[in-house]
Amino acid sequence: MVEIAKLLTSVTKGATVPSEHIDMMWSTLVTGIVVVFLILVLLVFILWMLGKVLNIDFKSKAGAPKNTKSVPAPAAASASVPEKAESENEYASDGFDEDDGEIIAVIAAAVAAYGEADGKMYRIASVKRKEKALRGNWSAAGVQENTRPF
Amino acid sequence: MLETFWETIKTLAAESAFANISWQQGVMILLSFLLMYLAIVKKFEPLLLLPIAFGMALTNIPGAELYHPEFFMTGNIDYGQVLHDGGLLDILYLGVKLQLFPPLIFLGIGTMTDFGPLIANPKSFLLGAAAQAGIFFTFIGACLLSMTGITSFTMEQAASIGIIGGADGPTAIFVTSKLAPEMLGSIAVAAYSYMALVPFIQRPIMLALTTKKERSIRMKQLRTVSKRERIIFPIAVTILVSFIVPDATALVGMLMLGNLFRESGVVDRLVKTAQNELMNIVTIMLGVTVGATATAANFLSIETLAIILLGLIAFSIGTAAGVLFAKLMNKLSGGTINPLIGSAGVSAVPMAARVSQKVGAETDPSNFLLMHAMGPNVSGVIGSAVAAGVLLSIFG
Repeated sequence: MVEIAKLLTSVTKGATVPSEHIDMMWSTLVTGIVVVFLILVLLVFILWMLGKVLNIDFKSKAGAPKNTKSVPAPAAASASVPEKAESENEYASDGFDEDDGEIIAVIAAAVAAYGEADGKMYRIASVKRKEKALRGNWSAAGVQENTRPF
Repeated sequence: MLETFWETIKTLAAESAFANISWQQGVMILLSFLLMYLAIVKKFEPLLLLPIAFGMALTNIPGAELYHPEFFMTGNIDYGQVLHDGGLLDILYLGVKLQLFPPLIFLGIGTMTDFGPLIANPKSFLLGAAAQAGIFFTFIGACLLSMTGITSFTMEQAASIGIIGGADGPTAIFVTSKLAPEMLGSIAVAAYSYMALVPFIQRPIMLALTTKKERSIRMKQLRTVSKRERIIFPIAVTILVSFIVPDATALVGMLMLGNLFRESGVVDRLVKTAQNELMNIVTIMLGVTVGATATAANFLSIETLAIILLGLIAFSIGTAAGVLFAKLMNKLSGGTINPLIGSAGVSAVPMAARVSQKVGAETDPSNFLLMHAMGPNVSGVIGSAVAAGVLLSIFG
């Protein structure tokens, strides 16, 4: 298509746009928009494929995802720890999976410290990973902090 | 002795710029003061507008002989003449004329750009493509103006005016220096001025084309992007784009090289140089020489007014096309895409994405669109480089 446009342009090159070359204008418009879209659609497809392939790779390395865990209460704490800021893939790829217990212990300790004020004792009954589509409160607070100047 | 002294003073006075300045040059120098004011006081893209404005002042000082447009007007430049008889700005201008500076700026931009939001949501590419409509429709507008006899733009000049709609300064300079070097000053000033005015131009269009309900759509949080994806991305983009539109290779290749430097994590020294010293040095030379092309003869014409008007139209059409396409994607996806991110498809990184965030936050302060808008925003950079390649392949 570009070659056709080039051929057409060789006639008009350097000259002020005369009305008989209106076809040339429209062909440039169509060529431009089609080529830009074509390339970017191809990139969408390549990136989509890339994401699929690499994510499958990570999942197979990480093994089956753990959805529920029973953890002995490391401290007096509340019933469940619902959120995890990062996705499973990120944890798996960075080898963070083994540290879940440690993270839960830290969060439990934080909850326990909060609970001290009302004088009550808590015990962890179960820990479940909660799938959240939207941004969590902590994440939202972080984004707000970083985008405040805008 | 007194007589000799007096004669010398008279000679100096006769040779001085005060005696030789034309009213057109005076107007250009005053205009450069206005641009300096906008850069310094109003902070309009000061990194480029300030050197451009100063270059404009320098080139219009009679007798200074810093820049000779006639050296570059012919198809075959006599480089020996430029080096032998040229002034400071003639020699620096070779960097623009030989298309060295814009790709080097793109190298620096690549080291500073995070393509993560785009990789996480590849559909953003479509918004970056839609917003390039401004380029091609403005090209049509410029051609039609010529047909009606209001202006006398050639096809190449019309293409250079259209590229203002890409909202990407280096790309506009890259295309114009090849297709219509005589318009470089006007087009660069129009492009950078409008980029600074993005919030004022885009906001009313975004509000007019979207409903309150659409503006308050919350988008799903982006997935995390692995390092491997980030490294493969610049290589894949370079190969694909360069194979299809070889004329875009200089811009896209350098942009992606810079990004590969950044994401590889093994060449920190090169990243620091590309995004700081190299970029700053090139920015100074690019700005001052582009400003120097704005001589009175080139700048003070009805064509410049037309360029400024068409540039505004280009920005507006690009913004509207992005928003409308995002609305379409929103409909097709069942209401999961906030149309406000479509306007970020015109490049102007990161200003256009900030505008999406700001307008979205006006409707719902707890809605964060910035990262979602960064996808179309960086996609717009690639899209405008591709559009530039297409125009160069047709008219170059």
